[in-house]
Amino acid sequence: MSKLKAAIIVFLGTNCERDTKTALEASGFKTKYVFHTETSLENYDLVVLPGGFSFGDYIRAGRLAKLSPAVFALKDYVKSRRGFVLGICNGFQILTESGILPGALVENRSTKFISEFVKLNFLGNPVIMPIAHKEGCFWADNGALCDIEKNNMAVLRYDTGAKPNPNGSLHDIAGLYDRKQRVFGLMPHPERAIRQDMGSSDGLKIFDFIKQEILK
Amino acid sequence: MKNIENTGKNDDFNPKFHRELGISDFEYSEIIKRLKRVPNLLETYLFSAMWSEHCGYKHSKKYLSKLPSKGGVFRGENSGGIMLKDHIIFFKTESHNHPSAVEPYQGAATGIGGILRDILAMNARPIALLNSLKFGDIEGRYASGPIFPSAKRNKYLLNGVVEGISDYGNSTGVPTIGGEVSFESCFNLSPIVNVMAVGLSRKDKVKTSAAKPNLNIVLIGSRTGRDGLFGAAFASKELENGFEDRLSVQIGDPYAKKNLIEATLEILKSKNVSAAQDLGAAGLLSSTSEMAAKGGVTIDLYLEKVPLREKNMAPFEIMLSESQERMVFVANDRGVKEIFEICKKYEINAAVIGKTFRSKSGQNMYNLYNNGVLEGSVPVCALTEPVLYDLKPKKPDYIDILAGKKLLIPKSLNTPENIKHLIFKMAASPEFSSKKYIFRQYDSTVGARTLKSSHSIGVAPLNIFETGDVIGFSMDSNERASYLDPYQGAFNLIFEGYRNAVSSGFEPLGITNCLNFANPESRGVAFQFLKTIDGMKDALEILGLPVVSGNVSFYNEGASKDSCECANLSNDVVSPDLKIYPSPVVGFLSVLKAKSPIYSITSPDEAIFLIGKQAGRFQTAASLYQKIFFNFIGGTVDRVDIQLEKKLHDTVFKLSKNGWIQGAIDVSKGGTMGSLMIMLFNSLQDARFDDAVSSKIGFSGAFAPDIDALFGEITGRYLISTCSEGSVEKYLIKKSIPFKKLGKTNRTGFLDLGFTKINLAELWEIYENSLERKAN
Repeated sequence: MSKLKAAIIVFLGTNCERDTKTALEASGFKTKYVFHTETSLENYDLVVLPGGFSFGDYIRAGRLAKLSPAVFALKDYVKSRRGFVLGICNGFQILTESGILPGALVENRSTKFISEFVKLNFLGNPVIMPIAHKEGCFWADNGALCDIEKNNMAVLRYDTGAKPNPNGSLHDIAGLYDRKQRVFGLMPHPERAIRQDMGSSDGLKIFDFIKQEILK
Repeated sequence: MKNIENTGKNDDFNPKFHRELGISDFEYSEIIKRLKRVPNLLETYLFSAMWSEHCGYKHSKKYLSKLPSKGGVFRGENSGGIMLKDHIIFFKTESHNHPSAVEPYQGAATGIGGILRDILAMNARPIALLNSLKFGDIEGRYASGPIFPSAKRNKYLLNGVVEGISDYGNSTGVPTIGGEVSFESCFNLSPIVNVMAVGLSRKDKVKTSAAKPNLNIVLIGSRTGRDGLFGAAFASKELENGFEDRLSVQIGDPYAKKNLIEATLEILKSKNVSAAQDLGAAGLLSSTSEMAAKGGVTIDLYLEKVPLREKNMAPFEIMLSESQERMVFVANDRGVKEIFEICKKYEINAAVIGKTFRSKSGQNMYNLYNNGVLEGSVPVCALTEPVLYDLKPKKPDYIDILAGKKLLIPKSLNTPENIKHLIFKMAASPEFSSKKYIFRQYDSTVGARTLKSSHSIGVAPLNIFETGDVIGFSMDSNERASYLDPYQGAFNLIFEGYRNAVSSGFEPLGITNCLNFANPESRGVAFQFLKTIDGMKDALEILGLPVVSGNVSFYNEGASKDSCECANLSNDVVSPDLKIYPSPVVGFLSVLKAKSPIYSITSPDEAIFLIGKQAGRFQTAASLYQKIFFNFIGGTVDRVDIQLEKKLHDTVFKLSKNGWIQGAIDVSKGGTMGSLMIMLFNSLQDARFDDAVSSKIGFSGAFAPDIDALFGEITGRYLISTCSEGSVEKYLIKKSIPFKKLGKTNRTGFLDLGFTKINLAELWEIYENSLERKAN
């Protein structure tokens, strides 16, 4: 079987594209950087919006990126159900900002940047990955939250066994599916947890899961 | 074209104007001698910046050359480095003390921006940042009387600096992997903000800053504005007027910087681009004149070509502006085209602003044209080689006075109950407590090179996949020891960095330094500075380590009387001309030699050994406990036993090779007790995701209730944790390494010292969260 093709969208200010490339390749994907000016994504099985500070996060995280040609192309890509979409950190923010995923990511309750490894629950399994964000507190109105829960869209949550979730996210949501389960956004960085010496290799579970979802 | 020699005479300005720019009469006469005429207004400005302490190193240059350099590469370039197989690890430190004192957020942010550009100019991708931060007292504990409202302001400075580093560093995608933070009243008016950047480049891809003739000078990045004007001169004097000084602070833009990083690395891939230089202190002037000096060329600059942010900027403003996020390149015509294309992609400005020539007369000139008019023309070497000064050191009186003091601890204080109380006090002190509140705000994992738990190990480890190595970095300083004994303080500091590396299983390769001092024209400060250089040099030579890069920051003092009052720990010991404690900071690069990094952790059912010097017989001056418990500074600083240090080095590596070390830490802050606590805390941190272990760690040993023995700091000691107690003991005896078995770890959840028992979870909570509580 030929390798699945992943596009990694690079906005000005994106800074996790190289890490994401390494992780995707370790998970068996063929990757290509796609600049934010690209207008078609139909050639790819997976489109990844990596972490960083797209366009400096000016106005607010994701606000400017959603106006870029690549994100318009992404909407068509989602509509056509061509492949799978993964948004990591700033990518997740872009997905909520552009309405592809519900809710919003607002400033952490502490008002400060948080960089640390956290324990999460991914589809019932414990995983450990780092978070690194200042605007990672998931927020949605009651209707949207009901919808999220009813449709089992919150597939990744912070583990709150030992202490409250790090950023104040409603329902401890750290990662979210769209209703059709073809778009996945998450605040933690799976690409920074792909080898034991990094502190965890659980990030590979996320990429493997996505691979299975695409092949399903 | 106007004849430049006339412009000098015709300019109508105050003949003493140079004084206003900080040029002394002596220096001014030297300038006239070199130019063989009076400089015009613009030229006077040029000299004021290039001959400032910040750019010219005029009080330190003569002495810095004493530091060993063998083993390093590219010293004297934008950044020096160390060869690692076919790659070079560049690393350098920069101070941004003065800007941070008046505008902490921007001051710290632009400090990072500046040091990243230095790395970038070598065509090295920045892969890590570290920092060393020193603030005044945030608790108001040591202040007495109605002085400067220091604690409140120090908290503001702390939070501003950290947020500046966080917002800026995180956006650039370079991880902040480690560093140190300390608190001392002498920094009330002059906080220390030293940042270190690390870069990686293949050996054959390195670019330097020497300009070749007959090429174009291309400026890219942000437009030039009036921000940071006179920044170099500003950093070369004591701070005076808070508000006016704020205008001299540069403003950073991390988004522009991120684009500049990517654009620069793409530009430097081109063969048509031969040299690069960042625009830092004294902006366009310093960068282009250095390029001309290194390359031995004449440079013509056309100021009307410089993209400006503001209207009506005078030539001197354009030349001296320290607007951030700019780089210059030297390129041929094809290179210019490539640069323009790349800059278009990254949406940043680019302009050809000058040309390089081989000079006909043999003297390389620095010519500034504005709309075709020659506004200034000076020999390159006159600009870049300022007059150098001899320091006139004199041993300050306080040194002998303090050395003669002795801390007498009444026997009545050595009670179990009191020592238990002191352990909690130590854990809660800003100096000792966890810096998690700060480090948590820095993205430490971006780049995917950082190894796990980079704060639970002596050196922060990074994967260099390109060579298959793991390298480690630390930043260290001990201003209290340097204050008591500048020579021994610096000497011990090098060995402290060495032990950090060894305890982690790493071999040190070289250092960068940042030397923070008060006014070097004060003879006492000159003494501190020269002794520091000597101590550092001697220690480095013994260990065979080079200094690959560095930075000197003088004039770290508030100008007002208040600063002396603030700096007072006790009124009788601080002489009024000494402002901050001498604060040499060193950054160590080391490479993993053990099979895997040794973390400063321990696990249940291991034995903990103290190896090296045994306490009781040595000098514990400058120990943290003396400050925290007794508000005391004095005595003699411990001397390094060089033979023992080398033996301990070999022992750690040998034991590790045999698989007999499960965790290790060098004994420093807080003495034996401090290091033991940190090992246990790191273990709790390490096991925090582990639900299965209810009581994760405990320790039981038999200690005497003796404050000095428990908390006293001396050199030459490590704690090692092992599950091969018998083998370790046999080995240490055979090699006649002094040691003591401190005790064993268990799962009780208690720190049991024999004479007292402490609930570790309670103590850890205080250690982890005190700083956050105190900083807000």
